[in-house]
Amino acid sequence: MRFLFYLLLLSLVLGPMHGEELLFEGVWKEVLKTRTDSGNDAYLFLPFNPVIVMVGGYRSGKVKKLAKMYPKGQIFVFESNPEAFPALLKEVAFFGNVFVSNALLYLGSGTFPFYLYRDIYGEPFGSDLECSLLEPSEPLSPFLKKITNVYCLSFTNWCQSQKLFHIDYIDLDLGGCEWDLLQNISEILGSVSVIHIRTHETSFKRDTILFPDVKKGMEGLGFNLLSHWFCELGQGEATFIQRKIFDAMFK
Amino acid sequence: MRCLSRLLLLLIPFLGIAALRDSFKKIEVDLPGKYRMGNIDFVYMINLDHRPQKFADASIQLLKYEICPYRVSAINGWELTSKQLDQLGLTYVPGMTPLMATCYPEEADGAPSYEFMQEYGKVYFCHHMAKGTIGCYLSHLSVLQHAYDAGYETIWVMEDDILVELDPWILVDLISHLDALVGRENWDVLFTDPDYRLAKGQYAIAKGLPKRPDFDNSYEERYSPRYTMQVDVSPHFRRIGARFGAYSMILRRSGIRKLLDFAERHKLFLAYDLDNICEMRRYACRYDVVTQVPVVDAITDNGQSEINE
Repeated sequence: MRFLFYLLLLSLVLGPMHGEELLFEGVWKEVLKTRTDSGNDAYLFLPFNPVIVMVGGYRSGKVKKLAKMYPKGQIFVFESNPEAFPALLKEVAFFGNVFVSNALLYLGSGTFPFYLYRDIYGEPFGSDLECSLLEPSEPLSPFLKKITNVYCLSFTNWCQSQKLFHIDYIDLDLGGCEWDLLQNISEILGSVSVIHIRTHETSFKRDTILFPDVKKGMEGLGFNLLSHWFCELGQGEATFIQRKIFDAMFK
Repeated sequence: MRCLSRLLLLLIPFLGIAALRDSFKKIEVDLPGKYRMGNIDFVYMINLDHRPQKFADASIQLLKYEICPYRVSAINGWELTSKQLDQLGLTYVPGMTPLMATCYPEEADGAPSYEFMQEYGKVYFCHHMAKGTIGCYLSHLSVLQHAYDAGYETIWVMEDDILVELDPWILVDLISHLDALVGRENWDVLFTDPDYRLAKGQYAIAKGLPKRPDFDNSYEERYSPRYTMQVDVSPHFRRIGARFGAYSMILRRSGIRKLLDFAERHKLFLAYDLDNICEMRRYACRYDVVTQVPVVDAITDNGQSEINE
């Protein structure tokens, strides 16, 4: 009986997360409706030799695409999922402009618990390789995690150590921690033209900041929403651009 | 020292006039009379060398009416070097409004670089200005220079993606009619259709100006009546403030001079058909005489460099 109850609960969570209808908001609402790939607006704002920082690069497809588009750029990719990292490393090994790390670029340095999400059958839950520093919320907790540890690097300290005083594009997929990071690296964001993040309209993880609050926060940091596609009560992807660029283009 | 460097930066735009003309293609015509059409001194059609089918498809529509366009070998913008592009674009100097723009630095090996304008002395084009578009602009300017040097009063300039809807010979009558209506000296360009067409055939009405770093970008200026007007002056003509699309235009000598002067003074920043700020007296036919092949069916030559394969 309990098993059936949890199965029902899962289906209620899984249903909206895998909803087929894509919703849109942002300036380029009409353009996005005709596109199936929403994640590449950044290329419209980047120089020929951008500095790109990707936290959550397990989708090597995006990394490889950027590496080919910007042979003179520098692409720093952080992928902390131990199940994704080997494949990513293999896929991008031959790109001289891609630098890969197994660490998680976040707020502080140190080792922290890291949750690899699994369903009741032990299979990846939600989007493939879903993982996060955030714990799952009750009552899904017993079924949805495999805990490991991840080594975190402070974003600010890492930039200083790399002598990176300028970043053109930041791409974050931090399993719900995107806003936590962004609001704490505001001093670095001055040089950034484009920020692309995974968004959450609801979450099965504790303490996830949902997109409406993220959007408001980003405006406070000097970034305006360019485009956002998402599933209702699910996840999505949003692109923000620096306000001076936004105003020059749209005002 | 700072004053001197700023003065030098302000003078940069005026130093490039000769360089712009150096980029024009020289047009030499053996039998100019062959390309005359009534009160139109010369009929031009701009076409890239590797697009013979487009020229064939376009010109055959005119040949049916015994109109012979002169094929202008278009400048292939994709072959322009960084050094050449630096002579053509707008140099960012103090006093200009920074915008999101495109540059082609030498170290980029021909790739565009999209940047927010920040560096004084750097040459920029508008955001996403493709090299093909720059080549198209230069091709048009080359035609205008030829026409001006030849002393022509009225020319018809087309691109190779036209669609003839009515007998083009009515344009000869329409020119006479417009002369009588507003005065021979009082118009600069006549477009041979009402407006630019989108993929599904609907008109995209141009109203207002896009931003330029070296002009007043206030809403009031860009959307002032002189750039938004759409006034029907007769059953055949509409006076317009702005217009997209340069695929079929009848130009008077006054219009030729204005376009050449504007490009020389202000360099190439926007696409040729978007620089409506030039003080042209524009008229358009209120019905399609010669229009454009629907965009969805047309092969673009301004887009990506893969067309050069």
